Amino acid sequence: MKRNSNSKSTGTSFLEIILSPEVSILVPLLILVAITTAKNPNFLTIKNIQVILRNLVFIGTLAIGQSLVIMCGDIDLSIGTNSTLTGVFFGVALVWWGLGFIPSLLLTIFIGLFIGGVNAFFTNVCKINSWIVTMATKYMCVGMATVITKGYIIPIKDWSNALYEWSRLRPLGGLSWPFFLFFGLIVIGEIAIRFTPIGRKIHAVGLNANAAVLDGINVPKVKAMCQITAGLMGAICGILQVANTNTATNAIGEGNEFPAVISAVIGGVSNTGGKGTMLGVLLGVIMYQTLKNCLQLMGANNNLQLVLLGLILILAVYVDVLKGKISSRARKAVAK
Amino acid sequence: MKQYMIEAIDITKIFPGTVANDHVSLKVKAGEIMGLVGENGAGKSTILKCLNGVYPHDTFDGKILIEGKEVHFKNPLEAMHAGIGYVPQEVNVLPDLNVAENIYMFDLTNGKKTIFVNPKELYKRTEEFLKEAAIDLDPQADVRKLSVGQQQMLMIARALAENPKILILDEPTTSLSSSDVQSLFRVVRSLKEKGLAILFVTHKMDEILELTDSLTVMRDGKNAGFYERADYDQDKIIRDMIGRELSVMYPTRDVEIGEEKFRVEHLSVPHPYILNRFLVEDVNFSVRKGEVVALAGLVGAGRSEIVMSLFGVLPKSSGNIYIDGQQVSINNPQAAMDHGIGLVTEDRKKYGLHFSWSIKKNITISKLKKIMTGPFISGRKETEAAQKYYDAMRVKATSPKELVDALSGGNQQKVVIARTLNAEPDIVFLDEPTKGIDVGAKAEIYEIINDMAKEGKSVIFISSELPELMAMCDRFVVIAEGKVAGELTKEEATEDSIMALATKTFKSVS
Repeated sequence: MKRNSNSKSTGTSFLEIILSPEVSILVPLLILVAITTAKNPNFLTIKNIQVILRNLVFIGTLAIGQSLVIMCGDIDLSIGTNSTLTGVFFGVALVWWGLGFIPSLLLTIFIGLFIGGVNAFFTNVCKINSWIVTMATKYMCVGMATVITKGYIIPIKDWSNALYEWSRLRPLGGLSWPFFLFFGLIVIGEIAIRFTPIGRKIHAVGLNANAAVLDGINVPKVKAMCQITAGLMGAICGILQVANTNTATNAIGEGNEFPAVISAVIGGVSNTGGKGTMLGVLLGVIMYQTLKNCLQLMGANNNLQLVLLGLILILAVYVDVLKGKISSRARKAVAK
Repeated sequence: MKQYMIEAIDITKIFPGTVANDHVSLKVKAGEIMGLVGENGAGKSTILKCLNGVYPHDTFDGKILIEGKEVHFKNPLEAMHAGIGYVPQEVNVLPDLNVAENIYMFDLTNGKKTIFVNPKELYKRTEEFLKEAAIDLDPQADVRKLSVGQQQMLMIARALAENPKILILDEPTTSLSSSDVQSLFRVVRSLKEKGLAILFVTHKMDEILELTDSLTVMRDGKNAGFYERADYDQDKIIRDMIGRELSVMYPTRDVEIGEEKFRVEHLSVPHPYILNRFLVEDVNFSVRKGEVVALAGLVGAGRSEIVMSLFGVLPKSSGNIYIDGQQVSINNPQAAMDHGIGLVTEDRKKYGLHFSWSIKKNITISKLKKIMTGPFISGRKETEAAQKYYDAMRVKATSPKELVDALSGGNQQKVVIARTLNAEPDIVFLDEPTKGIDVGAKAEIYEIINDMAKEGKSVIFISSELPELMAMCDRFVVIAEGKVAGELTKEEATEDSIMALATKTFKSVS
């Protein structure tokens, strides 16, 4: 929307299209696909694509929450272990406490919202930097998860296999229910960001929080809403992880906050806030998951994969910086 | 006849679009305190920056002589070594270090080549130095705990530690209480006794009369007058400061002024860091429908703080606000906007705009409710709403879809005003709406102000440019040192009478 208006008025349409998050991901994605297909014909098969799309939902849900928080100019480092803790609660409530499905689900969602609320309280009311707050809650979550499970792995099949089976169903086009759930969240998020006041406000806060104050926007409220939504996304991810593995354990989820950041940034969510769309996040997650899949197929060492992912994060942020420079230069040139 | 310690001769400094200094000359003798006065934008800061090397010698025309010898400074460090001590207007100390460390920042080891600092030696040296300079500070004191006045003294001490021959003090009293001002004056006088040449920049008439030996007045980037102490004439000095030709045409307005719309009583805004000090103290004023009221006063008098606190951005310690006779509570900008107040900010860069957004989005953000269809933003309604104010403000751009980044300062200002008006306020605070914009854009903004008054809006207009206030306002509330120094009707208000109130010093110890 913004890009379109921009291109019409300033005449930098070509540059703007190239630099738009969607296009600037697609090009490297296609190159990656081409190289991997040439090296390994197993890559571009329907089965493998299904694998990629099934696996991306976990990082994907986290990336939705993470990108909302980043758009406001904050970060949520606790979102990975949020999924650990909420997943563990879900399993414990189902299997050990025998609360039943719906109460367990509600409890889990409440825990996720609560973690987001704690983050929001300390960043917005106590005015502590979100890096510090969420780093603290990250460790609190993983610690709590271990305390609650006492280190045990809880098999969900003791309650029922229904959830596991649900997550393996292929209702349409060989895609799983969790994928459709994730895709639904992306669509809702995209509509909210593009077409509703809250989306406009989130971008305003991230671009210039001082100006947002004079716009009449309740800045702490907008930031808190994003952080609490991120907490909810952590809980959804936690439940999906439990369904996928049919176990609840404190070993899943920690460290996933960084792939969520990488996906969001590759997807064009500005690391300084104020920019980004959910469509971009979707493409960012696809890019991240495809890359991971490619590296696995090409037999890259696990540690080497980490090195490459780190490099890609830096590169993605640098591209974001460059985009800012190029487009402002282009704008100035037009203005003259 | 003492020799001139420093002479600046025919300094001309040109910025793109404006001549900041036009053949300005200054001469200060050893053992003399010379005052430098002038309104905001008169070019005082520019000449000081030429003198202290912030502007390298090849970026301006004219000569600078120290003790009769011409000097060429490439940077402030060279100026410092040549004997120019400069104390900037803003207090600029290192709060985590103590007094001695602040003073001898660049010479902690007393010239010895060692990596360890001997604290005893450092404190002893500092104590002797401070005693010599007659500055009352404890070398080991925690800088964070010093008052603004003491921090100002510390900055002077730091400049003196370099053994300057010339000391430049740029409005050192703006943030000081009366007692701090007196101790500052004592120090300055003792430095004069020691033979330093002192250039004292100020706004305040009583300080000039009390402290200085001679006075240079600047106006519109030029020398406007020079006085020896014997010839001081307050009225004449004020006329020299403000007497300029009007270069803008002011539109006339014929509006019936209605009943009282807005009133504030006992407004106080506490200093954010210092206990029991106030940026705004016990301010009362009111505005009627269709009336344009000036908040006049010098920069730093607390004008912006008044409107920022009334808009709910700055916290206030007391203050009752009445709208249409009803008391209202305003603790955040949302509440202010709900009560029909709009603020056009002075600081466009910080508070004004989302620079990577289009004009349209910047205008409509202030009231998204207006442009919605169901839960969604309607593109059609948004374009209509934006177009209305885009046209009303006469923003010069290709279309409302253009990014504000690419606009000139004047047009950006119009977008800021458009954003405020989009929220449909009845009471509008305009904080320096014409700052840094060209004459044509200014005239358009005056028209816009008249339109607001015609619609029955109540306008509070802050400006440092007296002629525009004189022409545009119905009533004048003059602010000095965070307090109301006086109120003038249109008939009573002259540039002299406003200036006399604005430079008033409250002798109460705060």
